[in-house]
Amino acid sequence: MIAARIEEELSQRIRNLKEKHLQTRPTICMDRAKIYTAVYKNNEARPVIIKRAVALEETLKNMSIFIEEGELIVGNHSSKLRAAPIFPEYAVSWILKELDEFDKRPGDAFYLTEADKQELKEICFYWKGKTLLEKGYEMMPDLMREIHDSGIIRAEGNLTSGDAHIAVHFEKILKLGLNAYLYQVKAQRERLDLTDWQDLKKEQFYKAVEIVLKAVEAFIGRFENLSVIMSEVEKDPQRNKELLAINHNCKIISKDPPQNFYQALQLVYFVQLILQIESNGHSVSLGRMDQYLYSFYKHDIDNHRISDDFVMELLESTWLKLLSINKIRPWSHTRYSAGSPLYQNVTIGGQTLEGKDSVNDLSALILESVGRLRLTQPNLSVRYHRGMSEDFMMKCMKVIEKGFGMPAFNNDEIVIPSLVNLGIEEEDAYNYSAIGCIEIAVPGKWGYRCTGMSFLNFMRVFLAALNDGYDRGSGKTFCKGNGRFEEFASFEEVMEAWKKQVEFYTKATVMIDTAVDTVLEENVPDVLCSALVDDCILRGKTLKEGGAKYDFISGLQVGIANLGNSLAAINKLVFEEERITPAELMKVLANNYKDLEGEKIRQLLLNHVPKYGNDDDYVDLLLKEAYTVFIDELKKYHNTRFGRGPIGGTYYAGTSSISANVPSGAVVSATPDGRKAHKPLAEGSSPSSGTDRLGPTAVFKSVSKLPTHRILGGVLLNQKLSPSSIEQNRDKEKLISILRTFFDDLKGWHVQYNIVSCETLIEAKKNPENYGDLVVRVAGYSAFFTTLSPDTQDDIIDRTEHSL
Amino acid sequence: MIFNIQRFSTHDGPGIRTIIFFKGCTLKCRWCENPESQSFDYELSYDRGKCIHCLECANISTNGEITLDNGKLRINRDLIDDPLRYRNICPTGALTVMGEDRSIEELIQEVKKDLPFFKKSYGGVTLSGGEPYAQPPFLFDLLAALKAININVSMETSLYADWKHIHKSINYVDTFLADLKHTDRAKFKAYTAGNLNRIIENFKNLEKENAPVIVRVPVIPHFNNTKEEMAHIIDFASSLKNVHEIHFLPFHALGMGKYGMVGKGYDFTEKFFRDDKELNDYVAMALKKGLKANIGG
Ligand code: SF4
Repeated sequence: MIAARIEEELSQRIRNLKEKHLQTRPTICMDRAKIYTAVYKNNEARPVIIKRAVALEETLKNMSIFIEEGELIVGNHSSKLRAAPIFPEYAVSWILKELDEFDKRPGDAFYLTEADKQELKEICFYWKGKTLLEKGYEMMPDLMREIHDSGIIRAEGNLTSGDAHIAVHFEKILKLGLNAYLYQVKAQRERLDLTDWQDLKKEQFYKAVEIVLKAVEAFIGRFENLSVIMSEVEKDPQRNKELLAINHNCKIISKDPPQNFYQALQLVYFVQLILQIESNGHSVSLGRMDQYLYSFYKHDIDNHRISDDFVMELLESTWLKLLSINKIRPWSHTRYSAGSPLYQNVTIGGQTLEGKDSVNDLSALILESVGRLRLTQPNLSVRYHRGMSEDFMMKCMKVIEKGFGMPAFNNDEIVIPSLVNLGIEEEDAYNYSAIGCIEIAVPGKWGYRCTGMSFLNFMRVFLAALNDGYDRGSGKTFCKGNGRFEEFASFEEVMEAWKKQVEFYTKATVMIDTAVDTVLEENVPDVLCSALVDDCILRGKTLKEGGAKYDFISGLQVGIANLGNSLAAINKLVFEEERITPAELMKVLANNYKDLEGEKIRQLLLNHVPKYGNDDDYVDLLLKEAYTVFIDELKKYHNTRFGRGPIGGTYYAGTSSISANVPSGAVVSATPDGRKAHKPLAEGSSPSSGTDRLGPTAVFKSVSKLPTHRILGGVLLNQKLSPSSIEQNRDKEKLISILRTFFDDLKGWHVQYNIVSCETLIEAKKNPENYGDLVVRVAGYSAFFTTLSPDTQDDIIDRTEHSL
Repeated sequence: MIFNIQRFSTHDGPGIRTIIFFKGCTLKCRWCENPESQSFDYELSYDRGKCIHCLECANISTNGEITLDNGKLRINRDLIDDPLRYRNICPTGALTVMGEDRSIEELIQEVKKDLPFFKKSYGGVTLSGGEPYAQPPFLFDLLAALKAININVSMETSLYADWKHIHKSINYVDTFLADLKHTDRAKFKAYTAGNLNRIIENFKNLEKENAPVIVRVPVIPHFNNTKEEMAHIIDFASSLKNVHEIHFLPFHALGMGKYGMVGKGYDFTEKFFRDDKELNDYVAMALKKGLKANIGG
């Protein structure tokens, strides 16, 4: 029944809402900024955490609210649809700099009136010199500040946007209802010994939680009132009924546990929404939605209280509401994340503690509704495991075929054992969910940023290793090296030099993170988010103070494939074959492969060296060795919550740098893998673009040679497919079978499929050197696109446009 | 000698497969899409688009094998007696040597890399060409080595080969993917350098041995792309007791550019297919005759 409906049209209501969302010009909402600024100004003497609780309280009580025509799930992020609120306490310098350009951006433009601009400027002036960003820079040790400025390590995003990358304990919220949290806080508060300074801090935390929980109740109450007022003037009897249903839902869930599926979903959305009014962070994720909502769904279905069609409509309404949450970011950031993605992840599938398949009817409905709506939100992940049915895999393939990159897969077969190994209790390990893109955590029990700490640019570090520690980008030597590459007598000396540099910069990332985490803890504690994650209330601590049950974090390493390919190139062409002298290589790296001489060497580096992604141990194992140096070093350090309560308090590696490979590449000069200066680095753990020539099985093999079980921040793999390559069911079946092999046998971490768009094909025709790996199906044949004749290419381009 | 190994093939036999392409074929079909597969010798392939005129190749050439002529590189093929001298010389890959002498061990090593994928998908290795049967000793060594590690083998062949070789291979081959290009001897002769009788004979011999055969029909404009001609082909295929499946392979002239690169002329300039409509008709015709049928394998 479900399969048959996939192709069916969206309901008129959802179509209208979708249209409206996509048509609305993004703007800026001043409500939050005004209220937060006023509260900060009027409450300077109060503890930070109380100030923030009151600011959220005032915002929730006074921001404009509305219910859109036809909406079933309610709750708005700001005063207008698609209007981005401002979070001035995090950073304002970029706003002042870019304010007049907001509406001139070639993409993701924001339109605001002159009056708003003026007001925003005034708000920004107040905050200048007081923002988190500025405090973060001041907190960094001098040398670290210089390194951060050089761009070798970047942590700015954590300061401009705050933490997030977290899923709160939705299962518990639905079970207990919001008021239960209040009782718990009250009970804890009564037990405090206020002669003790630590308990005094807890007292402030509990007080803040109480303020915020009551404010949430009041916020939901405002929608209860608004819906009833609207119903009184609503002439359409159908809509009138709907408004009264909304009214009833709000009435129940503002205090008590939801009584049905509809209410549960509405409560989940309210919480998700308010978390993103409280903090500016992204990747606020929804956890295993098909699991914690299932009992509500089942109960309603069994009692004939709801139909699957209505469930679909509710889910689609929720996805639209997720899309309506909008953020404005600095242009430098926006360029690389077009469409203001917020990475609100929904995870489905997976298994129970007993190893049984967790997929249920609701999983299928979530999958189908996301596939039908084709939006950027939510970011849908499927937890794969050995026992996942062929039927559900096929359903996933049918959504993947639609070409918007979802769902992505995470693999239980590697994630769960790795988590257990890390010290996560089994029950929790089996309940993990994806956060943001591909990273993972136990929802409701894990602190912020299981990944997403600072970015470390591996290639800047590697070039410094060849240059006696000198960093060309900044003109500085942060860590004196072992000499210049010309002086190295063997490849081992290259590895030694890398080790010295990467160890230094690994430590530097932790120092920078520590400064960042300290200012986050001191200046922008999230009260609501903390209250909804175990065991903050029990411990009387915010997340940042060590309130979470688990707290492991990871930064992101960028340029994985480039590192492997560079090492292989040096080993093979300089030392083994002596086809290039060290002096020649250094010269062309410095002049960006200038002239024929430079191009000749570049071509040798590109075409006569094994490349990561082709299942060639020569390069794959070198990469593993070099990456392991970093991972081993990272193990020595811990985060600011270490010893303060959580299990963990330490780091692991991570490669889920989605789009950072582009800006990271922009600040790196030419590299020995043949990459020219300023070109993008390789993305995540994927091969460098165009260098994997042997198809997906070889890519899977290469990726699986990385020490995946130690890269719990995620091993990101993007694979490109042409629409025609999964058109037929037999092709889908084959794709499922290689996926199963990758996950069951090779223990891969993650994969997502990019169905190549027509634009990409046109681009590939123009710049074939970047698309050597692009496989297309030409009716009967599979072929490398760039090797086809221009006519055939055009033919495929025509047809691709047709099939998408 | 082989000219390529291709992993992750999904349309040349069951499951996920690795194809080993043998170099050398005597049939020389005029539409052939792999001109580099025809010769049994090493050949130089030159892709002008990739050449940066660095002259690494010209510098090692003696007797004017490769020269610079008016700013353009000239490959004087008649003068080259040892193409292998140019292996790995060209930085860009514009000038490459077609043909690799790989040991059985190396090939098995390569094949083994995708073993886990074969297992889950019931895939294996497909031998293709060129014409695998044109290199009997090498072929039999390889077949024995593949059987020894229990790999499913598909044999893609024109059947333009000695029956005694085919016969000897039967126990090593799980599926034959045998080309049936035409049923008219004269037309076959006009478009290839072979003799259809021998192929038909081999089809019948395989039938006698009850070997599993899938018939593959390259659908070539102006050669066999009419309902009438296809009807004959399908009739013949369905008359064979050991054949239950037929694949129609659309022609796309993918190889056009490659002819120039190996110094050959290409005189088959028919338009390639823009849609699968005719092919769908053929599939329907085959289904009616009780065969399983698809487009593209
Ligand atoms: S070596 Fe290659 S790139 Fe250089 S001139 Fe010869 S064919 Fe052209």
